[in-house]
Amino acid sequence: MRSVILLIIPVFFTFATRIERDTLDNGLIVLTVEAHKIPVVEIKAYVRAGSVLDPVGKEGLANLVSQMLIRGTDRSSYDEITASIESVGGVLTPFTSEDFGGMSGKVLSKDLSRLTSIMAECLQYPLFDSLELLRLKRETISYIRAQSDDPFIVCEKGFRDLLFSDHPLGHFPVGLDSSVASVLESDVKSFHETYYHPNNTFLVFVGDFSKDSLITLLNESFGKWTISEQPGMDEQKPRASDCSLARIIPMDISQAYIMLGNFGPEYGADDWHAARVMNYILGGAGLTARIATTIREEKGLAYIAYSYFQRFLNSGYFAAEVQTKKEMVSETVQSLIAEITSMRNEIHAEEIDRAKKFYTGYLPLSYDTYSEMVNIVAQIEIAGYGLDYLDQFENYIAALTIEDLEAAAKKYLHPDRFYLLIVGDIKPEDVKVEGIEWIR
Amino acid sequence: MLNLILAIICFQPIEVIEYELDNGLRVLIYEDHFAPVVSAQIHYRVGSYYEPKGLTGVSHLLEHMAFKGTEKYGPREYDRIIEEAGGYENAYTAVDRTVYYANLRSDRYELALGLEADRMQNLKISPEEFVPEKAVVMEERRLRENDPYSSLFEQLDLMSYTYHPYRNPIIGFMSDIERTTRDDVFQWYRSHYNPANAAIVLAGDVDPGEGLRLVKKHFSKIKGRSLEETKYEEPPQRGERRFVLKKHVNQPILGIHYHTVASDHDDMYALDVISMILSSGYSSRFEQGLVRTEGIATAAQTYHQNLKYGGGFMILAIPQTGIDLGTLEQAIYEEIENLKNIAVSDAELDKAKNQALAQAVYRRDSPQGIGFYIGQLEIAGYGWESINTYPVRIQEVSKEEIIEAAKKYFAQDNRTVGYLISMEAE
Repeated sequence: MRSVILLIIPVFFTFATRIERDTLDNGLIVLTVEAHKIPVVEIKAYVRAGSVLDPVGKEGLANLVSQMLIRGTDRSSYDEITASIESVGGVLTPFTSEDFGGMSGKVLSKDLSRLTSIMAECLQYPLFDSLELLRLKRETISYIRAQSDDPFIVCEKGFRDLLFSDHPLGHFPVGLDSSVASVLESDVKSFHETYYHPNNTFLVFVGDFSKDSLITLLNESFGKWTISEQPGMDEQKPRASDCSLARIIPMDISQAYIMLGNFGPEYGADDWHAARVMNYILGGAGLTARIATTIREEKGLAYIAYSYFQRFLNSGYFAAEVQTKKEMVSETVQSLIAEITSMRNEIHAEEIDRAKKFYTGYLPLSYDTYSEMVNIVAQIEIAGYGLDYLDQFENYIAALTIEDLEAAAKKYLHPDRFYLLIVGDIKPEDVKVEGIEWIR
Repeated sequence: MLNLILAIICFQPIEVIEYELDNGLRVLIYEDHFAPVVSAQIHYRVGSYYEPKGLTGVSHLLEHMAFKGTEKYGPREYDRIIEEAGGYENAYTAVDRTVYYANLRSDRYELALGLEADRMQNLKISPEEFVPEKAVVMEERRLRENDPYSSLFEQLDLMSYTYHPYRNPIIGFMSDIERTTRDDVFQWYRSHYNPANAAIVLAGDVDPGEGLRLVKKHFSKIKGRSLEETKYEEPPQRGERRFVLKKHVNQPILGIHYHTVASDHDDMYALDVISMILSSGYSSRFEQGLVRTEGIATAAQTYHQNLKYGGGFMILAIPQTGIDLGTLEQAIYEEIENLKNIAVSDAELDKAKNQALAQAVYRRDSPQGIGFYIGQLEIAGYGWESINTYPVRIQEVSKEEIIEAAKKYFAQDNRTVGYLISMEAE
């Protein structure tokens, strides 16, 4: 059936990218990739100050702190900060994830020192003005409310809540409208005081600069940032259920939004590559993956049908996601469970072969722009891979055996004890699957 | 001013090499050797603009069926071949074009060319594959119906254009998707997919001579047939149009549309600068005023969309909790009136110009993105050179032109206003 037009020789093929890692005297880690294709520099500052550190009842605190960074420092106002960067066509945006808070930015390389000095100022000396905080809380609460009309977000949020329950990963970084309302100025200041320190931060720079002059620049703007001992992290793992738990979030829509999954590997897990390739075969490979082949291509049940792993520093999850018209919800859930079951039972050598061929060619595609490069460098740092990771990647993939993938499937896929979240106009009796405990 | 001069120095024009084969196929090659990757793209001049009443969404359905097998390759074989080569491939349908693309390592992009040449000539569109795929597209349509923003935009287009095909959703109306047969799709394929109605773009680590040789090898024997294009003209809007769309939502949304100009009109530049001044970045007027200081909006964004036969300036805004849509609407009009009455400051104008220049440089980060842009301009008939001239033309926009454009286009009679509100609201 398949005729091959070109003979593809699986040679290892990466392009010259040198990731360098330097540490300033105060412990600030600086990761750099020099590239001179366009006169642009992309930057991202990662502070280990994400939403997993939100105290109970103050969910959304970490996000308010990072969003406040651009809203005035003890030397510049919001207007001055934003105008200074945007007047030269630059971009400076705060971000918050589960594990990190911080800022990302992009400028023409002639404006690099402007961006680094403003970023340094925002990270070190934010003012946390009470009126600005009040404004931000209002905006955030309205934003959370607006999100409640998006079934994708409602579904993911509901799944996270079902899976992680009262573990800090159970809420989105943006928080809940009630908890955001209860955050005080003192909370924001003390969170920043505790976590925003150079020994808790790494910076990534990709683009058109010379590393030596960059380090000089950073010593000027970040050199006075003081070290502070970090409180011990709560390394508590979320607790797994021993039966299948399911919940329906009612919403008056024409489809059912389904997420089904379980806990997965964290950043740096030894079996990550095996898990990734296993999932590629199951649901990660677009339309050729098993889930899409059955649910979309053969049965026509859905437009989107796939699965993925989401990793965090201390935990992670596996999820399969499908949206289907509500009459087909039962068949779709059954199909998902069947695919997960059969993945545990049988993986074919030709599937692994195909996945390996994909990854052999794919790597250069995954970081062919500066912004993708920033993300991949950050992931290497977070997961604790070495700086030669990009050169080694294909070796890791090539070394995987069928047993590695089978072990990952057995470890992370559990057709007898999964978490199922459905958003839509559905009742438990519409889902004809045995052995599910429905939770209200 | 100094910043502007420095930014202009950073801005370097791009070079594209163009050819036309005897059969009318346009070939555009853009070199970027940063990564060993080529984005191989084919752009067809067909999309929702060309679709007759009753057959809306047929171009998009065809795009889906284009992955379902030819005489030579079985269903999904295309995906598998690209996948095994470590490539990424996808497709999209727009108002005026349908695009298929594959990003591959530069030693193997010929794979994509071979497959695209086959797809241009030999699609089967078999009835067995058509039935489930139509169901998939109907699910895709349902996803959009469940998204409040998509619903509001769809209604805004329907109200802003009374006659012009720009009113039709790209995905099509549900009843049209349902009615469309396998033969309709096949017919549409036969009449629109041929070399004279397409452009190939190769962007990335490609040698132009070799690229052209490979395109010729795969495409030169295919017969070309150029198509007549009908130009539709929307009658001028003479009076404000308003609508209310009710859905099960918690958060109301406001949408406003002003008719503007097609993408070959000189007023486009002033309108684009206005869009940047209003909503580009944290220091923009909407973000500073409506969102942060006045606390009226959670988000307020403008989009100026120019197409070949017309354009629209759109405003999308979400009120903060406790603010009604009427208050938000009035606050937006105040900002609009300011543009007509008070000249923008030097700093604001310089900022917008710098943003346009910087964006033009940032864009060059992605060969795939530049490729899409080149194809879009080629299909619309403007030529890729506008990638270089656009930021330069933006530099020439004056304060007076901004006032004139605001007065000319932001008139009450020229606008359509939509409120998306909760089903339960009064």
